[in-house]
Amino acid sequence: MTTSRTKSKSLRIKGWGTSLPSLLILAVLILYPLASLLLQIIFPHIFDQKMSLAPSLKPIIGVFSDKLNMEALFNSLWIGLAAAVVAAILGTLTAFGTSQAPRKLKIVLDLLIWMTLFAPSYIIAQGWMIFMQDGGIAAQIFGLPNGWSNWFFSKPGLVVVMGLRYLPFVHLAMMQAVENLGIEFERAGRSLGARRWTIFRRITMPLLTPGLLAGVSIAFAEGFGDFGFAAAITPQTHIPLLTFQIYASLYEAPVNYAAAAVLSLVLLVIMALAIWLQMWWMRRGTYVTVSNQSRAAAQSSARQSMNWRTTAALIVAAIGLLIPAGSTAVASMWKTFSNGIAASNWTFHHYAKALQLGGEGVSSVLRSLGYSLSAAVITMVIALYIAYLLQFKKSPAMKFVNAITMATIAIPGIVLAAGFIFAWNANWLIPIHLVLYGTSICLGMAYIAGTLPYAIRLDIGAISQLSPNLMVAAQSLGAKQIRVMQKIVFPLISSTMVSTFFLTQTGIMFELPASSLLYPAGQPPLPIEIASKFKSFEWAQGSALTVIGMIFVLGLYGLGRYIIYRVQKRTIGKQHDSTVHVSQVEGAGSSIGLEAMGSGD
Amino acid sequence: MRNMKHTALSFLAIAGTAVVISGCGTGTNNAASSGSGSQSNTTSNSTKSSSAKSQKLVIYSAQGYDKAMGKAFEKATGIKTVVKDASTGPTVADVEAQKNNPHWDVVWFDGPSTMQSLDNQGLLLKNWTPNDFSNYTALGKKNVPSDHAYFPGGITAAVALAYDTKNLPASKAPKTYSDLLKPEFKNAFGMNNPSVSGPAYPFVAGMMQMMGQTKGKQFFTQAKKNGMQIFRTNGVTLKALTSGKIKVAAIQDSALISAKQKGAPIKIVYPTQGTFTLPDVMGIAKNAPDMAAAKKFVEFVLSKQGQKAMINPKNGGGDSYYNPIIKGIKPDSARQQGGINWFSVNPVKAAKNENQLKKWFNDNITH
Repeated sequence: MTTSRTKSKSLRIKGWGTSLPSLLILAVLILYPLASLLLQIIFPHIFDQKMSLAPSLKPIIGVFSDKLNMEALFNSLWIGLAAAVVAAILGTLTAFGTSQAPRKLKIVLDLLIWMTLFAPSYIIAQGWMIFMQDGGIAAQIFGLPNGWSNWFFSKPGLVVVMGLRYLPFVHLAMMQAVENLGIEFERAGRSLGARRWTIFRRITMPLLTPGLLAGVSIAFAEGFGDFGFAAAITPQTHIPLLTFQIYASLYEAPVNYAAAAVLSLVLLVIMALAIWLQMWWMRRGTYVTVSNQSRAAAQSSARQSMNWRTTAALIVAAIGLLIPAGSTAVASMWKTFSNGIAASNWTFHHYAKALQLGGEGVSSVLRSLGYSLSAAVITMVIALYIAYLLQFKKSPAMKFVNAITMATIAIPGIVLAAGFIFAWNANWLIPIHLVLYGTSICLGMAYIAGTLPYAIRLDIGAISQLSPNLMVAAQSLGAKQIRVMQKIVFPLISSTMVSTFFLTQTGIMFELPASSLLYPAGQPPLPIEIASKFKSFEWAQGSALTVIGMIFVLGLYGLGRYIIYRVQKRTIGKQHDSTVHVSQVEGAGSSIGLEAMGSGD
Repeated sequence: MRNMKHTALSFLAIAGTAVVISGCGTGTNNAASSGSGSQSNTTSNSTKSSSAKSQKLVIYSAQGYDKAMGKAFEKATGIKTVVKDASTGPTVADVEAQKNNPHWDVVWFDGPSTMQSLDNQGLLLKNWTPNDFSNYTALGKKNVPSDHAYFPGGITAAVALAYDTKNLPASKAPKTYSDLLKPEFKNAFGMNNPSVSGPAYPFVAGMMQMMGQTKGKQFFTQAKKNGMQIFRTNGVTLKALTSGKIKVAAIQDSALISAKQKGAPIKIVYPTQGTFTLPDVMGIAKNAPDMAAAKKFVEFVLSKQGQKAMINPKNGGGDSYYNPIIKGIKPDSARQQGGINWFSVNPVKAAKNENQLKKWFNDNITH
């Protein structure tokens, strides 16, 4: 704990020594691939057939002199901000609604919000399209004429659906604050004669502000860097967005990697700034987060009646998830999309076809399951290892590692994936037989790289809640590090580890950018198979595969919740009811991308 | 401690399943890989790629019939074949990213101008002639570039006009491109975005070649003034047509034929001024890991046996409704043959102007 403060040279070297494995992991998975892409900003010909290190400023000038790029940047900024504001309003509402809900409804709300968080953006966006478009599900149910939804396929429409999609980030950040509010401040205010509004303005709001701002910044960062919406809705609405411009430079002929690199850098810098702001706000809010969790449980179980906040929260959460998910499910059961809702048009045929034994659908589902489960195990282990070191070995080297893991939250999947091609197919790897590109290892590495930063933050959130005194006590009693991990760290953070596992697993099942650029020839994973169905206009089959994937994810998620429940029951003891379990999972989950409370260094 | 063991065991169980599953997935679907799990064949793969002695044919493709063709080729020759199927954009991105160390043997997609730009970068094998070159019809030969860097497998129309018979009587249907500028088609006509959709750029480039650049650009500008709508791909434009959002769609004819075959009430019109050819084209990597197999594959596609697999809609969906350019191969009966005034788009010129034209279209027409 005190190593970083001592100026002794040998200790400093030791500091770098302990952090070397973490640095190596991050270098292989993140730094080297990212550098391979970003280097092309200045050396556009570094990966040409004949490598050239001739520097050029052409890519930068080209990108910034392009009208469309600038428009996309501006759009992404203000749409991201507006969506964050919508998410802030809705997320605050759902947080209050959830914390005041009767226990059973609380579980329903919790599930809706978590599923919204887990659902891949492009599936949500695709679902909204199926619902809102001309001749879509809404038009068929309510007999609406063409053009009724023009307002939806516009910037304000995009802001609303993105706000609904990102409300979980605000919700989770606020839950922590709302549950920790405690009634003693409120009571103190009341006993001093303050009115409701005064209490809200002078007590509640200041206590909630850090959580709210943190939630808003992460919602902005997510919205700004989101690709799912950009990919599904932007092309129809012709609203240029930054992530779509990156995609276009990579995916649309003519391909321009240098432009993709420049735009990625812009994206990276802005997202890093937002995430830094979020952490700054979290750190300032120490007086909120010092409160302990047992009070949260006491408070939340105190109110059991339904009020307007809970009703509103239910409506908002249901709209945000059930409309898009339901639309996808419905579309998967229509024989032909244009015949729509007619009674004769319903069939399970697409499911039967997708699940045909030995067929491509089943193979892709199994492949993605394999990838997601193995990568989730590896991610879980590495994340725990790095998070532990980050929390307890505060050397300058680990500060560097910390900075990298935070910055990498800002890297969009597609950027990292493009970096992987260059990095792991480079000429200099040929003599040492390390060309990993084109193998399942390479794709697996990209999957891990994409989720590792989130997993690390999640684990830090949990570890930072452990009292350092416990470790010191154990160590002073002669326990070695591995024993400390086994006996103290593991049991106390096991539920977060399970959360990490399922966050990673779900993410990978539907991961599109890395999958499409890196999958080994002839072995497409699930997202590729879904995309290829949509590409060949087989919407129903694509939707059926999506639903099948979601069922697997939900099944595993249910299993995860069960494991958490069992583990907690054993660890904490039987006296805690499931309300505690829910709030603890949320506590751990709220640090997905949200800086851990008190990990400040 | 007991708790931890319990948890650790559940994870090990899950992890174990994962390895088994990923092993199965790899084994069953990629006969070419060594058959072992994903973990173990990495070294052998990387060794393979660097030693240039590949045991399998790798095809990067954006064609509907690609997987079926891979299987048919494997059956006919015994050469292990794997297909990486994606849209044209990602396929080209993948090819370009690997330019210093290619992992593919054959690349195959619609649109020779994009293929020409790969040729211009020196990524394709040149000056090789397939054994069965003489199988080509005159139209086929016309679409082979002089350096033989790529070969067409069949031809569709980059663009044909289609209208929904429910919304537009045949008497009012457009017959030429210029009809689309009439007031009666105000806000009622749609096409694809050439930056996204493979066939849309040959349409734009074809108009420039046929009318000259000034008049060509004028056409699209006027169309935009007349409320022309730009959609992303064939599927989206088709949906706009069948839902009544637009009255006329201008997209690749094979997609239109396929929709018609599936029961959409549409009629197809080939504009009298000229219908732009859109060949699907195959190129071989200059340093193909398995050059011999790649050459055999191109010859297979140009053979009657290969064409029979390719033209079957069961194998290729919409893409199978192409116009054959191999002698003795009959097109699907759903395809109109007579009365089409084919106009060959010059891929060299189209490739040269591609960036500039797409940017112009993007800045002035799409947005």
